[in-house]
Amino acid sequence: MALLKADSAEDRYLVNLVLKGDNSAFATIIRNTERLVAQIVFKMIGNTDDMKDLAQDIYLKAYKGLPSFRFRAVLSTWIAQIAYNTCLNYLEKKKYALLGDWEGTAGDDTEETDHIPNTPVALADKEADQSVLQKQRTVIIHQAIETLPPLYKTLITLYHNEELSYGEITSITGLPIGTVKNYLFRARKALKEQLLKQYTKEEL
Amino acid sequence: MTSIHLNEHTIQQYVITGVLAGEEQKQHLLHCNYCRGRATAYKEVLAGIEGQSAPSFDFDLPALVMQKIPAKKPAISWRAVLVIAGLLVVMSLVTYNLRGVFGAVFKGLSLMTSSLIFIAVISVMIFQLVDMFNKYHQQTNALD
Repeated sequence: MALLKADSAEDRYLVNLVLKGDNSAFATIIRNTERLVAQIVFKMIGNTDDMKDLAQDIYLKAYKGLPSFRFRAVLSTWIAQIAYNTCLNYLEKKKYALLGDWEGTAGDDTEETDHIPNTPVALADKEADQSVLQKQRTVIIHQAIETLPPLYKTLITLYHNEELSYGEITSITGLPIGTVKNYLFRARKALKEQLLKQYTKEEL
Repeated sequence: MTSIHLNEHTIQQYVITGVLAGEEQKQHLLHCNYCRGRATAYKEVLAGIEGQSAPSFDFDLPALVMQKIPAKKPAISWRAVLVIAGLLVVMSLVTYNLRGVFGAVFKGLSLMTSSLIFIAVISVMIFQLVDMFNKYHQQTNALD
């Protein structure tokens, strides 16, 4: 909480400087929030040629909108919201589906005993070999994440990598908190299933 | 110990928070290889996610954005204020030195007529100045 207060005090100071005409303060704001924006842009649209224009567009929108920013949210969350909406518009223009074929699937909280019967037990035995598996696991998970729809990738990154709260993710995406939790659940489950499938293949 | 396997949601929550709801679930997880295997799989998934390096732009984003942001002009241009003040001083000095000439010109006119002429001239000058100032701003904005 103390960190949040310190951050918002710095945000307030920087925003006031920009509004008074000190544009170099805006460069500081960009540097402070660039990582979060990069996470969203990379997960939403991937590494495309349009990324440069899109990233600039996000910050130009933020600059123009700064006079109307009322500190109801943390500055980084507000800029992340602009980044998310800009990427969303881009995906809509390019006719990319935010959820792909995943809408309405993989949402049930069922047991999958019938699908992959022996692998979890085998995995439990492998618990001791954590260090050996670590590199391989990171590669497998990275590949699996890339197969997720843009929205799932973004939510997983915001929650697990950027350690944002459900409330902050809700502010950024505009999705209801229940939907955010549900999509995160589905994404984790899908990643786990892909990991298990990979291990099953290797065992065979 | 319950023989019913833990559901996906419970296992995810256990892996994320490290907490299970009751003793029965704890005992089940302790003795059930299948559920422990699923928990281990989720732990690996989370470790894999968290082990990813954060992406970064391979270009200087602040520099690119700053190029596109016009430099703000201060609300008051002190140079303009100094020029106007200088002009006023010069005009006052000229008026003071030529007061005799002005006196002769306005000698035959009534106070009312002189006042009207004075107000009309000042008003036209103010309108001209405002117009000039607006045109100057429009042109500088167009250049930006």
